[in-house]
Amino acid sequence: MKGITFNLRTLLALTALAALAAFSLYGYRPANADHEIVGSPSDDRIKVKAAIETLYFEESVRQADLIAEVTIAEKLYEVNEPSPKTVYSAAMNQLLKGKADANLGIRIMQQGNSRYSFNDNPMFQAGDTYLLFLKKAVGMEDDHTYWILGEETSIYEQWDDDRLVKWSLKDSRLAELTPTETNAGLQAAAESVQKKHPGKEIQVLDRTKFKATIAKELKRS
Amino acid sequence: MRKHAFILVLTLALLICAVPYGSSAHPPLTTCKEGGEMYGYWVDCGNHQADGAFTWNTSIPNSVAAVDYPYRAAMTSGAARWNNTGITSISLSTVSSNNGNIYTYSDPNTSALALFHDYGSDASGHLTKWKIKFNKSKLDNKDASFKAALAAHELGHAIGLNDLYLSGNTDKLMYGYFGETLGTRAAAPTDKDKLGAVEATRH
Repeated sequence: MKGITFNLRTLLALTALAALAAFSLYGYRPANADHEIVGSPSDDRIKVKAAIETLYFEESVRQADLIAEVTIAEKLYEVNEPSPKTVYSAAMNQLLKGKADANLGIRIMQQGNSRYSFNDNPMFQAGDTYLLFLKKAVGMEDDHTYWILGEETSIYEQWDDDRLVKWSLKDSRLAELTPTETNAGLQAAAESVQKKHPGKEIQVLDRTKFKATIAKELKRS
Repeated sequence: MRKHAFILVLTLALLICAVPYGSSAHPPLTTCKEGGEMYGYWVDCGNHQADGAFTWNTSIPNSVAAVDYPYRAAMTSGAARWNNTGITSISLSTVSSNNGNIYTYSDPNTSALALFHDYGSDASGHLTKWKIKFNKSKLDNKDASFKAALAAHELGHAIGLNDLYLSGNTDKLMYGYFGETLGTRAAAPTDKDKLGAVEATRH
C-alpha cells in the first residue's frame, strides 16, 4: 500500500509538472505579442477573398441604373456559380434614380450565400433597410434583378431614422455628411456596428444629407 | 486514497484546460504573428505557404493566340514581382492539381474582379489547395499592367496574406479594393507586403 501511495504521489507530481510546462509553452501570451484577433470566429462558412472594383461617389451616381432605398423582404434563392450569390426580393421605399415598378418590387443580388462568405460581409436579413447603388443584371429571366455596384463599399445600411452606415471604404468626399454629435450611447452603437464588419472602415452618414447630396449630384451630372 | 484520486482528476483537468487555448497550429517557438491593418500586413495564420517555394498551374494554353493567354501572362508577371523580392520562388508547374489552380470565369453581374477561393490547409496551417479565378467580364478590357498587378495581389493570398481595407493601407499591394485604373496603388510588393510574406512563409 505504501508503494502504491508513493507511485501515485510520483504520478501526481509528474502530471502537475506536465501541466505547468504545457501552460508555460502554450497558454501564456505576453502582453505585447503581435497577435491581433480579427475576423468573425463564429462564421464557419467557406471564405472567399475577392478583389473588388470600387468607384468614387460621383461615378457611382453616374453609373448606377437605380439608386433606391429598399427594405429586404425575403431570401429567394442562392447560386454558387459563376460566383456565390444570394438573391432577395425587396420593397422599394424611395427611388432616387432610375425607373422601376414600385408595386412589383425588385430583386437584389448580394455576393455570398449560406455556404460561402464573401469578404466576411454579413448577409442581408429580412426587414433590413438599405440605400443601394444598383446595376441591372444581365442574362436573367426577369427584368427586375439588380446587383450592387461596388458590393460592400456601396451598401448604406439604415442605422436609425437619421443615420446610415456605409459598410466599408470611407469616402473623404462624404466626410462633411458625418454626424458631428457624440455621446456614449452613440459610441457604443457605432462599436456594435463595427463588430459586424471586422477589419472594414465603416462610415456613419446623415441620412437626409446623403440623399440630398445624391439629388444634387444627379442634377449636376 | 480518495483524496489522491480527486487531486489527480483535478490536475488532469488543469492540464486539459491549459493546453492550447487560442494557440495556432504552429509549434510554440514559431507562433504565427498575424500582424493586422496597423502593421501594414495581415497574415492568414490558418492558410499560408510552408515556405516561399510553391507552384501554380493552369489549363490556359501557353500561346499568345489563346483567348485567355493574357491571364496566364499576368500570373507569370505577378509571380516574377514576388520572386524579385527574394522571399518567394513561385513557379509554373506543368502538373495539374488543385494546389494553385488558375482559371477564368465570366460574371458581368458583380464588381468582383478576381476571387481567391476553394482554399484549404493542413493542421499546420499550410495551404494544400487554392484557386484563383479571374473575372473576364470585368478584366478583358483592362490592360496588361492592371492584370499583372491584380495577379500579384492574388498571389499574395496564395502566400498567406489577407486583404487590407483601411485607408492607411491604400498604397499596399494587398489593399483589397481596386479603382477603375491602378491609380496610386502598389503594383508590386511594398516593404510591408514583404514583411508579411516573410512572416507567412517562415513556419
